[in-house]
Amino acid sequence: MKQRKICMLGTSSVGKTSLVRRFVQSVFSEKYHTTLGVKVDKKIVKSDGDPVCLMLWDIEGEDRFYRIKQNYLRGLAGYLLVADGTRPVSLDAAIRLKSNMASAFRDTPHFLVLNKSDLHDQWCLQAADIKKIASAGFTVISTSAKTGENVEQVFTKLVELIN
Amino acid sequence: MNESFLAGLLESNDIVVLKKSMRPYFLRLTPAPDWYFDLITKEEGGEGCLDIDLAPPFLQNFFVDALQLPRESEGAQISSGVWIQESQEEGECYFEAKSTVHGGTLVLIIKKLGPDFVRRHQQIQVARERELVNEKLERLVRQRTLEVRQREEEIILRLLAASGAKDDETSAHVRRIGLYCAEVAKSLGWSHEEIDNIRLAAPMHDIGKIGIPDHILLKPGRLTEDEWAIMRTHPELGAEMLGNTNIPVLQMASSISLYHHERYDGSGYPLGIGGEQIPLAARIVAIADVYDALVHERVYKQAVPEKTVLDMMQAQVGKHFDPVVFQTFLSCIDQIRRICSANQDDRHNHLLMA
Repeated sequence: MKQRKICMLGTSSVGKTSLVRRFVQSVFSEKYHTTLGVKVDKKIVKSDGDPVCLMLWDIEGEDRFYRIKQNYLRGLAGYLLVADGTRPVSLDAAIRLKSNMASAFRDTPHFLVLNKSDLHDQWCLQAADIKKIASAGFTVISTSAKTGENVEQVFTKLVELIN
Repeated sequence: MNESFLAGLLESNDIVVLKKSMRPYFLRLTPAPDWYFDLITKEEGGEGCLDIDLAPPFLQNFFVDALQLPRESEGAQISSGVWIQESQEEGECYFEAKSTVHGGTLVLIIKKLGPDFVRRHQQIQVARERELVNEKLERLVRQRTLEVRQREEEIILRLLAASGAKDDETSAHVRRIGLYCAEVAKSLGWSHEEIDNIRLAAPMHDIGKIGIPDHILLKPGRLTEDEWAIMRTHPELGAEMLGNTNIPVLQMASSISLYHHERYDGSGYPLGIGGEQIPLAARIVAIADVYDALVHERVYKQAVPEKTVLDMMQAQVGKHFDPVVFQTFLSCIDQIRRICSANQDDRHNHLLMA
């Protein structure tokens, strides 16, 4: 069976682990439990009728406590840059992460995931933020790990791009 | 390998030490704790053998780096960083692997992280929660500041509407002056706050005219000497109206009002000061005001072509205008033109919205 490595990237507290848990185990917890280090989960999905084993690398959020090691990205087939729509700083972090990624990964399939769409009324992205997203060349998908909105779809679309 | 790590190894039951053998194996040198078989489902190549290709994905990734450690780099050490492995009995467990060269042999140490790490985890959990709260508070403060600023804008807008009703200054003119000045201030490297202040303060430069009697302000013909003398009091009138405040935008507006008819060579009024004695904000406004007045039609004059306007103004550099500020103005002339064409008189009340 084909294996594909997908990395979850973004600053801390944006919901990377929650997205993986929703996708892999169909569960969600309101409690915030910060990830330290890396957790690798597997999920088998179908792509063009063939099973593909996704290796989901949930990497600790990059912030002032933690810097992502570039060697964690080795063998990367695709990645999700996760930001929290209620926190504009998380969008800046996602843009910065993308620009800091080694040139080898610049063309690797990826999406900008604006998570927490269930809190849409609390989103505070301004016109300037939307402009930043556009100029960074992102394809954006909004998700909610809480309700499950678009979670399956974002991974499925990424797999379609990878294969 | 540092001493504290070695000491930790000797004291801890939570480590497994392996050495590199024929590819694809590592050979275990220490007894295997129970948790080890949660990581390594079985020792395929015989007891004590860890097949690299069957190791957990995180560890496999680390092997790539570990195997690159030069055998002659005795004592050199690399760490995998922390990874999480799900255990049926204990839930999430944390591990870290280190690789080193000992006696020319590559050694791998896998450590299950214990109470020290749990404490560190708790500390970071608390710190990140605190950061989230701080971030939220900062957002709220920014939001409130924005609301206060919007209220200031609204008040200024109404003040300008009241003063503008007396003479022929259009709402678009005052809006453009603010935006031109903001553009020049930006090019001069002002802070965001100062740029925002001049955007709001500059349009108030002529507010003192509200204190000039109508028969002078609105007189269609030439003014007499006495009438000019009265007319020339408007900078001070404006400065008084706007002064005596702790609000930065009004302080700047008061200063602009007082000095915007001063000239760089000292031949202006009301004080006759020159050069850098004139506050920079007022020197910027002087240029923006003249440019906009000349390139637009007024009831008493035709619009002057922009090229002629810039030539006329260039001739006044060092006399009326500050040379550096005028150069800066020219350097952002494209943005100035965009502002100009996007802000023609619309008779709406959105005077100052950028």
